[in-house]
Amino acid sequence: MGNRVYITGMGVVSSIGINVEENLQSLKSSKTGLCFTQFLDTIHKNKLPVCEIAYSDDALAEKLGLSVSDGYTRTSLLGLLAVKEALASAGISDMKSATTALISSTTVGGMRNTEMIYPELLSPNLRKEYTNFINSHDLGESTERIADYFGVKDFVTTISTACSSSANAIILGARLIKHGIVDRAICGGTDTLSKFTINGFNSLMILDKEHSRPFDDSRVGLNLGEGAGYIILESEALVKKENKKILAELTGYSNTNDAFHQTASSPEGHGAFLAMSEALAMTGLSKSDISYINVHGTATPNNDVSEGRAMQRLFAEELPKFSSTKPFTGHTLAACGGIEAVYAVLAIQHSLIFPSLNFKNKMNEVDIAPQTTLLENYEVNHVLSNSFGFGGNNTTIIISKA
Amino acid sequence: MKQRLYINGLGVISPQKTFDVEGFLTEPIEYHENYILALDAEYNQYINPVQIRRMSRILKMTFTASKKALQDAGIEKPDAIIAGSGYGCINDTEKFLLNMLDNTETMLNPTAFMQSTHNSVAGMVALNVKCNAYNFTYTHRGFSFETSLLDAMMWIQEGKENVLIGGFEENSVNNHIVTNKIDFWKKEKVAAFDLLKTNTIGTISGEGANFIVLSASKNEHSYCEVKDVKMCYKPNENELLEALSQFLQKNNLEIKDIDVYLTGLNGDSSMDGIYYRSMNELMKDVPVAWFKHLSGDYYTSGSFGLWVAAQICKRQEVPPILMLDGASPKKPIKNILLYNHYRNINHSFYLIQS
Amino acid sequence: MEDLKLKLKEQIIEALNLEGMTPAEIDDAAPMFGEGLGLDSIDALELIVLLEKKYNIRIEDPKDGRAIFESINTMAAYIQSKQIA
Repeated sequence: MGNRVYITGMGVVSSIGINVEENLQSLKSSKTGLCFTQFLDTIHKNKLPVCEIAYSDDALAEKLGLSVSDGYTRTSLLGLLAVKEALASAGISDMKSATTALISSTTVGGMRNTEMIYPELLSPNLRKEYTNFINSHDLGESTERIADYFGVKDFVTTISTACSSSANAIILGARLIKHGIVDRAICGGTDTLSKFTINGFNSLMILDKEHSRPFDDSRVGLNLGEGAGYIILESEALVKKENKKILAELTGYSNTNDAFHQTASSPEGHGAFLAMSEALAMTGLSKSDISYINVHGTATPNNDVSEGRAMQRLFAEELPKFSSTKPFTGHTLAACGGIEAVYAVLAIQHSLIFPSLNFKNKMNEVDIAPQTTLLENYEVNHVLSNSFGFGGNNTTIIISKA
Repeated sequence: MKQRLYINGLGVISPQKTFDVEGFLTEPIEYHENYILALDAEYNQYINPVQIRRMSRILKMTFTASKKALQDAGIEKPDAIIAGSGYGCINDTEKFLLNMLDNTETMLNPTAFMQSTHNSVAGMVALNVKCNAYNFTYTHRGFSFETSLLDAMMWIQEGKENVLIGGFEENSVNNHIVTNKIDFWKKEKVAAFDLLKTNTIGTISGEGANFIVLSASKNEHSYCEVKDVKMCYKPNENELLEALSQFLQKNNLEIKDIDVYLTGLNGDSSMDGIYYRSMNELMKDVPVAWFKHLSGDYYTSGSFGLWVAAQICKRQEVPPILMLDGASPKKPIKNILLYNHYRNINHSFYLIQS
Repeated sequence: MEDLKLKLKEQIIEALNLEGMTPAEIDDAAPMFGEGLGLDSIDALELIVLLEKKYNIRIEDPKDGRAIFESINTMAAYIQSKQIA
């Protein structure tokens, strides 16, 4: 215990770009990924906008030298692309050079593919081209596809804690390193748009037919998105031994449970408050040291009040700049913690605060306003990133300039 | 110095009489189906009417088993809640999926969707005991429960006192049909106790909700000590044996120190082969026990195996139904090695000590 | 109106799985949320689905549910107003 954990690589695929550089450019130019789906056959396709990645499954597979018919779900493909970029940026090519963990996360795994062929899966007449998808539904499947593609053997697991999943993957990676179980960990998550999730969130009546407006008084819900985001964590010892380039340091984290309701957050954001304060306590920093909060900020009426109140309670007069990047990417469910961890590193590297799009008026309940324009040349030393989910799951991670 | 950890509470709902009974597998039930269900508890006695009305069966099972484990350990609120499940609440997932397809995406009930998320179990348990602490759900096939156990072990090292962990899985008719297409299950009906005599592909599909309280302190009620757990992803035969050798060495043990070898043999002729053969060869002088003829197989069946091992340790007896062959173990029974794998992909070793 | 209320109560008991409850036990005027029946926000969403399934009435904004689902009386009155319209 006690050794520090560094971020040495990162990769991201989202509707605003299929690599880190494209994402950065979109974030800087306020370019959102919001559109109407071109790949998903749903009755909502012209009514509910989503943040979809503009590549077909085949096009994604081609980038990886793979063939979809071998059973690669869209979830696997997005995850593979992001992990590939993350490993390359960390300069890792040989998995045997150090003990390596892959901790991936997803909420619906192969559902996108399952729902397309479900009646056939249940019938005796399953078409031959679908046989490779019979066992692709469960959440561990995409993780194993990623592990096998890159040859990760030492430690492989999957986390699913709804929308906080990949932030939790980062926590597990850090703890495995601190306990000396592995030297480095590939941590993040991947999720694709599916009819299942669109209809699920629609049945909860928390999807916005317009572009989502986090922390705005007029907000009515979220836009769903898809994507994958992974970071590479390495132990202090390995970084020193290999003289690695460090992108940032993971200095704090906490996972708590709101224990309030199955899906809703407590109005005062008790779990969120605990997660943020515990993570901050771990860093040993004071509140005023935090330069930027990348909020969970889904734009559901419930989340933003709850999160906002928790932020106000913790930071009071010292509330740092904050923004939600969800209007750029949509809510990517299990992937958002990983994607937003990458954005946190970008904020530090490029001295930027990304804008919270579509904000006009403060919420009636909480007197706080996000950063609405791109802030450049702003020294960002410590980023606090929130990811909250169903089941009362609240996770905060803190990423610092190394 | 490494902090030791103990199993201080158990709550298990399985196809056997494991819930609210005094005996340890004294009346084993033999099933003749390749799809077996857990024996439902009197859920109404454990869950109040307001809570129970929306719960699907797996939520009732896990709620009740987790409550029992906490009661058994004599604690109200654990310091962390960690659950593992390969398929999660698969019946809720299928219900929402089928409604969506049948009703062409209209008039969908939100309850099934809400409960379909894999972490709805751990969230519900936290809600029930108002536990704001660490709350995780692992969903990695045959590592789902093992990662939960490892995580709990790390937390105890990090200073937490009591961690509630659980492995759960529910059978579903549709999922059975789908996975039968890739030979997960036997095509013919078999008598469960003769599972290892079948020599055909597939096994029997089981389910269960197995919750365990791990604690940093030992008391007179403690079942056993959990020494270690190790996962091996897609090892070849040599890698597996090497992993075992390192695992024992790390814990200062040799094969001759193992008193009971508990295996996850499941009678699948395409899966039991190489790995178990070489393991059996290595363990040839150790009494062998097994458990999947009682629980059926599922991604988190290791949690049932751990319950079996904990009971053996505490009671210092191996019920005859568990013994595979060879002599009964000599007493005292000190070290139990549990080896399990799911479809030759996710292999795991557990070391349990009296 | 009384027939509608009785039918509505039966449908609510079924949809929300109010086990062991009979229509007679539900007071027409009693609040359905909080005190009274003790329903919550997810039940409100289930009631919206019920209205669409059984009465072909669509509610677009979940906030509208609050007034409509205040009691059996308000819910029945809303259904009747929509059916006449």
